[in-house]
Amino acid sequence: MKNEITYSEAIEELEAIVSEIENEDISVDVLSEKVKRASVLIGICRKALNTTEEEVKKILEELNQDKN
Amino acid sequence: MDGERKIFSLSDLARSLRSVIERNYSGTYWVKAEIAKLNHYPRSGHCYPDLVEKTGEQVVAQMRATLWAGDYKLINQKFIEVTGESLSEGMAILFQTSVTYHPVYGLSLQIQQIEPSFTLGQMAYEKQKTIERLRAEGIFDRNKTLEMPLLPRRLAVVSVETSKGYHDFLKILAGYQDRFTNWHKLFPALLQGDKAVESLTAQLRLIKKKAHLFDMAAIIRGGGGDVGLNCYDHYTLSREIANFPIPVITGIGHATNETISEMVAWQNKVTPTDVAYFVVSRFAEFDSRIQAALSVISTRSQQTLSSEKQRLMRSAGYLKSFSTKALQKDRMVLISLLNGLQNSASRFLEKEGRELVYLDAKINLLRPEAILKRGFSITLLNGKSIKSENELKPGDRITTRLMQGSIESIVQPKTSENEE
Repeated sequence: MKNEITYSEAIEELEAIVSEIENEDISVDVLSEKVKRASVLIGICRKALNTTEEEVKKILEELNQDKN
Repeated sequence: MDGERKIFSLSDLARSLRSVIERNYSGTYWVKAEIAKLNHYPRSGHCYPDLVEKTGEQVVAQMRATLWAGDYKLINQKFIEVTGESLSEGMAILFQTSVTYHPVYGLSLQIQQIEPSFTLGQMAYEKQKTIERLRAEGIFDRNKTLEMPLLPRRLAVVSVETSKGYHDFLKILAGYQDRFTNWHKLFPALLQGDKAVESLTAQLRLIKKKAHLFDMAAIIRGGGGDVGLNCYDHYTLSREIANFPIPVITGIGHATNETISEMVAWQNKVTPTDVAYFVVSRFAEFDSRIQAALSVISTRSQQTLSSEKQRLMRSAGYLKSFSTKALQKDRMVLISLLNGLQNSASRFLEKEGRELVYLDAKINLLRPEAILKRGFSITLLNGKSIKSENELKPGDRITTRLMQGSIESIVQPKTSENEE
């Protein structure tokens, strides 16, 4: 089971939430839940914009494995 | 008989051949052939090209040619002007030549001029054939159909450390480093000339093995002049790009016709700077999508909250005015009840009052003083009122009370009144 969500999934879900709260009448309770979720997704997306460390580590590891 | 045999020296034969050739091939000829090897000697500047004619892969004729340093320089310069390429192996050329024979060096073609437009036409023809071949194989548009990841974060760059284009590319990416982070690995390759096809293809194959580690590949060149870009029209390289498992973006920076490599790439950005801007713009686009979402969420939340607040306030207002009204009504009822109570109470009291006055009067009438006033009197014996004569006997001392004062009397024996 993989709980990690990719940034492209995150932005898609985020925009779905946005169009939902933009176009539908949403109660305050639901809204606060959606906003909570949206802020998590925004965090994931923003991280994708300015972090590559983990991936680079993975790449370098794999490239180095071949040399041995 | 041996003595009858005529024996020639090698030089006799050579001289003879030379004279035959010089006699029979005294003019100049236009010949077309393919350069199998250029054999250019940079030190002397002379060229000794091996020229061939092929049927398929089969060589059906081969001759050596000579191009003297001075001629080569002029011819090649003109050739580059027209074709954008330096004379090189694999090219088909149309040239004007004389035929010479040298006793030591043998038969040779003495190239006097080369017609560049022939080669250009040939190159265009070859290019067209390569395009058609790639289309027939169904791979011409293959790389274009790949999906570019939203964020090209891991870049495989085919270029060379010393390339100006590569540095332009890096400079632009570095300018956005604080906002958008990506990572690239350089795969160094020759970017133009004879050896470029082999070198570029080898590096692309290296990347292909590790394609899952990269989001896209970029071929970047710039600052190396526009000669020797024919390699990008080569079938092997073009095919490698067309078939590449991740999107390839080209920025090989030249102003002439688009090469096949650029045509089959995912996108041809022409200059290295534009490749960098493409990468950055993907990030910026993504960023603006986040910003847009953020702004909708925040305005929408504020709207909802403020409209909710208004609703609440309205409800509270309703409740207040409603309850005030209800209270008012209740109070009115209460007041009217109170009033009613008061009225009926006072009426009751009034009535009671009247009764009391009457009773009072009645009681007054019954008071002994009132009776005495009317002329009645009360007879007492030892302080007790007498109601019958039988209670008395002669000699009793009785008191008669009048309204004013009283009389003391002594009872007398009864005279016979009845006898009268």
